[in-house]
Amino acid sequence: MSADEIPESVRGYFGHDKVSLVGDGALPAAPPAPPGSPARRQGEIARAAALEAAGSPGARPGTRPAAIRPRPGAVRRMRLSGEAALMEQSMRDAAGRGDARAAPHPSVGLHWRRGFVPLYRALPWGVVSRFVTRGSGARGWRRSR
Amino acid sequence: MGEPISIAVVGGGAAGISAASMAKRTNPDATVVCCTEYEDVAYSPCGIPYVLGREIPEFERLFLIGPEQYAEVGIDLRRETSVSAIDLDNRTMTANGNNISWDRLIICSGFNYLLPEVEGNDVDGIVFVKNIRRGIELDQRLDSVKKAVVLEGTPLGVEMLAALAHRGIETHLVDPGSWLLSQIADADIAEPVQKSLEDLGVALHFGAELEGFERSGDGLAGVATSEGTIEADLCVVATHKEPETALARSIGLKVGSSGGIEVNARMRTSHEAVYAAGDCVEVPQGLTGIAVQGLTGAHAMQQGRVAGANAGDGDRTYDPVYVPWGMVGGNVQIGGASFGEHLATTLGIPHIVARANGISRARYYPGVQQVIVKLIAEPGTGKLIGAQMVGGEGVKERADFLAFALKRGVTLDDLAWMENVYSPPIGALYEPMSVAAQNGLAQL
Repeated sequence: MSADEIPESVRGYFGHDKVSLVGDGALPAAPPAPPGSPARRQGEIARAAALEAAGSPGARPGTRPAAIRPRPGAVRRMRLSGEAALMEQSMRDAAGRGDARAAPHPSVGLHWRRGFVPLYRALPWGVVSRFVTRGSGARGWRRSR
Repeated sequence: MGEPISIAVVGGGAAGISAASMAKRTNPDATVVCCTEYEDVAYSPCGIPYVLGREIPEFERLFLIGPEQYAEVGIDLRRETSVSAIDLDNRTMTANGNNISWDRLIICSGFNYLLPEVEGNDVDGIVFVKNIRRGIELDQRLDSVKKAVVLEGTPLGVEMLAALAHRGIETHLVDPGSWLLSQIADADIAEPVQKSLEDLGVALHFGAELEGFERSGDGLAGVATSEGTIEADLCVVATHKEPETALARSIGLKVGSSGGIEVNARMRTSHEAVYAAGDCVEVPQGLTGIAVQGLTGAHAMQQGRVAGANAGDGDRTYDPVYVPWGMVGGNVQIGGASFGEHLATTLGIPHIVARANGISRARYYPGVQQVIVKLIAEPGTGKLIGAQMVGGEGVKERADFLAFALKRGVTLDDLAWMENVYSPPIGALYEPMSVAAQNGLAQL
């Protein structure tokens, strides 16, 4: 489909025609889509429906878009704990230097903090990066140009 | 002309809609069905905090086009339609009890906020910002809210802190980290944003762990933390974006170390006929190859375009990411690309830090703002590995530029001698990125 075949209503998608090209650095925002247009109509429908539903009980789409993390496999568990331990230590160091307002609240056990972190830090990046890439790398990708 | 194939898309967010649109554009003869569990498509969820904060006057402005316009371009868009099962062998899926056949499937199932596993996490008053209609409901509710807590200083959390403060609500941040945006930003870069939010009246509680939600009748009375209880009648949960992979896992697709669906550069999953894009997938960080997920709407849209093109028999690839990011926190812009000093230190990547305090316009031009730039580079070679910025204006363009520069492997030397726009109202004689690079060269 060429650009010419895109319906006029869809071509206005980005709203360039609705925004001023001149201004003092604080350009006016696009107004709502014109009255009667599909976008305006959908906005009005959404607003009316949401306000009618507001305060009423019952689940609606998107009321609770939250979930407990699925039980992680061994690789993800290692990654989650390892990253948390390293990041928290980095923040603790910053707090110790007076570069941060507070030390982080620890989320991993002592063995991660006192065992894993010093071991990881003792190894050169050239060695560590191979383990990190093997364990946490994306698969099936070419390297960046 | 393309083959008359059937393409089904699960999800109607940035990735799903762009995948469906690109599939149809690539292969006009294809039948394209797009199912979303929500009532609306083609609006900007990223604009919701700004309507809640009264910076955008009405929610209607966030709508870009109407749903019937997808029918005009030949896309069968099915709203309020949940996909509950996928049959890989027969290449069908069940949506609202109906069977839909497909030759290629694109999963764009998005994310869920990580639900805190603490007492009282089902209490009324714990809210999430994601869907526009629920955002409209929240907007009305905020009129009666006196005290609110935002859980975690993520990008959405920072936007919501400002939005709630703009509404005159006593607002608190509870974050277990040591500074704002600590998963991506450096402490010194985050500090101006923290000060700006405090100027708006926001109370920031760092190093504070959520311990529970306290009830009063059916509603929220307070948020219990390791630092004490904060009275609140509303809590915005802005936690980590956990990839929604239940459907993908149910059909045996491989899930990677970040929790996202594994895809290759063509956004194809571990099954040859199934593609995936957006917040439910993981892609490699350009410098390290480490899998990352939960990026921006712009990433989701581009990934959806690649998945849609390939599902429609096109041939597109998606590059590893350098993740330019930016946002407004309080009255300050903050952003960066790839690694900051904190992340590089955390991972143990050898680096030097090159820093400059610059200005956004000529020093004498009205409206001139400070721009602080930090460049992170490889010792010896000076090859750029990341950047962070904070300032009054001009952060987004520099983050975009530096992400592209990172992709092309530029060095501090390249940046030190870069050309730049000089025009008093829009740019200073000395470009802050270039000055930072010059400062860094002395350390190589």
